[in-house]
Amino acid sequence: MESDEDEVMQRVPLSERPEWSDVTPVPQDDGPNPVVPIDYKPDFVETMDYFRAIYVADERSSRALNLTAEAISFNPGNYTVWHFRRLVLEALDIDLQVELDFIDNIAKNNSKNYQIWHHRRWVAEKLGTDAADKELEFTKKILSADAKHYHAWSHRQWVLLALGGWEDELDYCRELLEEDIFNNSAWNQRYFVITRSPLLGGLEAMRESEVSYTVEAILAHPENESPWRYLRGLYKGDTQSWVNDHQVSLLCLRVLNTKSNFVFALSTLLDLLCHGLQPSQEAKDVVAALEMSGTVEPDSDLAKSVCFILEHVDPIRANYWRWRKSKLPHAT
Amino acid sequence: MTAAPTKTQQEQWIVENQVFQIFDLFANLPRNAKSALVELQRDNHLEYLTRGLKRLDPSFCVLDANRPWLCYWILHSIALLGDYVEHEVENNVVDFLSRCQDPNGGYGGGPGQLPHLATTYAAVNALITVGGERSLSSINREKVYMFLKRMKQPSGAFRMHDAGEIDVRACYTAISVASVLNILDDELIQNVGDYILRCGSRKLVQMGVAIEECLLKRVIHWIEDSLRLVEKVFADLYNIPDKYLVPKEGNTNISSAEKPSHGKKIRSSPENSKSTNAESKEDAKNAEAETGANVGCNRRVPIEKGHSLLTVRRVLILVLHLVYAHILDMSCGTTAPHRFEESEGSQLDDTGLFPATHSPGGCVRIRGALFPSLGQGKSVQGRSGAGGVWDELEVFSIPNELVLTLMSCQTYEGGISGEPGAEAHGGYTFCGFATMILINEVNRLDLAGLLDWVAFRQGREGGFQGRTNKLVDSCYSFWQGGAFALLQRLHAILDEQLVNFGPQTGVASDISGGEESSDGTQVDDKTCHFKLGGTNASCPVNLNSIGYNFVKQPGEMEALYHRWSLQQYILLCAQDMEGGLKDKPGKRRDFYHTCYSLSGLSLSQHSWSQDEDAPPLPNAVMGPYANLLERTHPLFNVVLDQYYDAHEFFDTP
Repeated sequence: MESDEDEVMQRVPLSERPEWSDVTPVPQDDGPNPVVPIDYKPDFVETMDYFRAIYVADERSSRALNLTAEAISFNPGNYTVWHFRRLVLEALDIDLQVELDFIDNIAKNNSKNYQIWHHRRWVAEKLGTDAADKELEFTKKILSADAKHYHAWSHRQWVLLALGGWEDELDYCRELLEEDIFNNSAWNQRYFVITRSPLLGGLEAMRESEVSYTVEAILAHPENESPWRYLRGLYKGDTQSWVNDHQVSLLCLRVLNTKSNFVFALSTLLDLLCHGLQPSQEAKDVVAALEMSGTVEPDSDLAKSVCFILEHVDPIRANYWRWRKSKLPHAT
Repeated sequence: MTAAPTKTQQEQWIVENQVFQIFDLFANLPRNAKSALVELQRDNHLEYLTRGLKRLDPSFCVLDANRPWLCYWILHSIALLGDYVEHEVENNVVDFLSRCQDPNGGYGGGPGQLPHLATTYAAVNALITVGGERSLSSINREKVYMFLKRMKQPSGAFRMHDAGEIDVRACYTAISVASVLNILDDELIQNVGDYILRCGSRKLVQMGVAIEECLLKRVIHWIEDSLRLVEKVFADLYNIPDKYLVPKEGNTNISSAEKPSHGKKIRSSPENSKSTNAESKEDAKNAEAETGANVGCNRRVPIEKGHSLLTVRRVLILVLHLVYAHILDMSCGTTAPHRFEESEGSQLDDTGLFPATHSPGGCVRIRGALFPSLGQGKSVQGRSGAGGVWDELEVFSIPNELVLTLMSCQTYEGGISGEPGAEAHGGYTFCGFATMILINEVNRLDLAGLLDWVAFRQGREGGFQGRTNKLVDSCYSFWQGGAFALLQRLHAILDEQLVNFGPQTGVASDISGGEESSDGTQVDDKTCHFKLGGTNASCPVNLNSIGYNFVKQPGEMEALYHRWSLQQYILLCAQDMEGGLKDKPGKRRDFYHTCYSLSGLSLSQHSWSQDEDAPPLPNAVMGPYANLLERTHPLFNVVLDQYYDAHEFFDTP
């Protein structure tokens, strides 16, 4: 019932199709001197003219459904057409599984548009929990081509919340991160899973194992911002534990000791100090060593020293680090 | 963790190579050639833009539902360049956009299309950019207001269009339009902040329990409890005559199973209700779960001997809903905007506990918590009397707004996401941030966290990336650079949050005592109502002057990003010398990137002048001083002079 590419290629104009003979096309009311006028192709104009006719007449028929498919294939961004299509689908009581296939087809060309995903969510919502597996599979397919696809991730999160299917999600995150440990979307999803999955024990219960996982990831790539932010997120709402957890400060020191790729280690140390971490002698020594190797004047206030170093090793954020320095609480 | 570079690394290195090649080339050029390269190609840009206004090739078919956007991108770019279109073209813009204006309010993507919030935002901004009586008066503000009200959801958020998607973008475009048109009121802002934040987060943090932990522990406890009740509920349900039950068809296809029953009324016998009531008296929380489950089972769960796994799963989902609802209730306890006692016109069901009010969005209120109904766009027929919640309540629905509202859009990274739970993103961060300022609730954001996140979005290329570990893109010159421009004027709140940055409060969001917001305006009672624990009582504010006061006040500190590097990226890497700007080297120019690169460039040039009316110093402008663009309003992104005219125009009664 839907037009695929072949049909579009040898498209019979609507005006020559007998089933449309009773419809008078409604041209677009662009006025005499439109701005941003688009040099539409004739097929586009005709399809939209017929679409306007049935839209204005509110004709919720199967030919209307087919016409929306044609209009969508010309411009998947036309939310009015999608909206009307939903009205028609509801009126005709169409098998929505078929509708999923239609969306699959449209998404093949370009899935970065709000309408496709909103429509997909609408259909999946109607299908209910049975649709969970298929939806997870669908997003997985999109994500295999573009692992940071924003719409796909949003849809996937919605599916999990609304329809369930949490069982393999943490594994899926692990897989994606094994493939690309820099994939921040996968880290974000991991956070979503450990905080929201009803199958896991929640943030606090997951913290210990997640911290080990994250520490390992950081040590492999200390320049990777994602696990650093994730690590901080693991203590969200519980800053005291974050400051008191030796693993965190130890991690910073380990990275700082290597004297390379240490911007995130240093900025984490700064945050820890701002939140009341009492620096160990080792921390002072490590920072002092970085000062020696650079052009930075040693300072008795460790947090200040850290800001100084950051200002020099991370010049694009020099303003930010200077500002951070100006906001440091007075040395205790 | 493998030795081979990952996809992210490879792509990043490719872009870095391209960019650094350009910089190297530039560095080695003789002086005069250098200045030619960093020159903004005004004439070419203007020509490219003006041409677009007059004709677009067939490839623009995919933007046929975005024509007000095209108008805005082009006209705003022209205005930033300090130029304007011929009077006749201005008239054509007004005529054309009037054809996009819906008789019932708002603007669609083209003539005859459904009104949409994003295109309404674009059309309004375009018309303000054109300016003048004819243009400004062509906007039917009363109707726009009605449109905004129609898009407003009970959760506080907005839908993009009739039955359209809900996200942070919708909040921003709605609030921005209302603010700039001087039609923003308490009704429109109600609970918007809650959507952008997380309802009641402060209270939970104060309790020393992160919502996630609290939530999940309770989920387990509740599921155990509720399962016992569910058994009971099912037993009750078997007493209901078969004709009232949803027949189960084939392979549990809910939608088809449900359809024939749509008009049917399902109600329990009074005995059932009473027994439920008796149960509920034992424990208010359990009762909530129980009655909810009753309703849900009635409506959506096919009944057969022995509960299928599916049924149990659905029940569990419902229980989850109720836990969320419970937490919502708990966390909003002090201000209690959601408690049923306060919901107007609510009707109690026969248990007397649960008002069966149907809110306008087709949602059902149960103990004040909102459950979006499944039949979006359809009105759910609620009846008072014996039926009560046993009527056609589709409680067994997807936890759209409710759950999502509970979850923060400000993510653990510090930036803001499009929907709660999603990844922090530059575009949504700007939208969420600007919205919170316009509704006078910005102190509820963790600004220090936001600043830290956005500071790290500027890369070695000089431009901004949209998300952590993504590639640089010139459009974020505005979205991320805009966040800096906003932060510059929120110095006081930022300071306040830093003072409370102590170990006890955890996140910096726990600020109180904001008697005055940084824009110098004060906060009125109604707004205070939404501020959890805020101490800013008795201070009248005109919501509609927030945007005006905000920009009238000079930045309180230097922009905290590397302005020079950003300008270098825009001029050298994003500029098409033939006219127009692009995402990054190797990409093609387009109107969107032209608009947002220039907007970001303008912000970075004007980002810091002590004296409000003084032009920026030459050292703030990379390249010849003629590169200086017009100032843009950092909240609305319309050129400032045009904004002032519009403000005056709409401010005049």
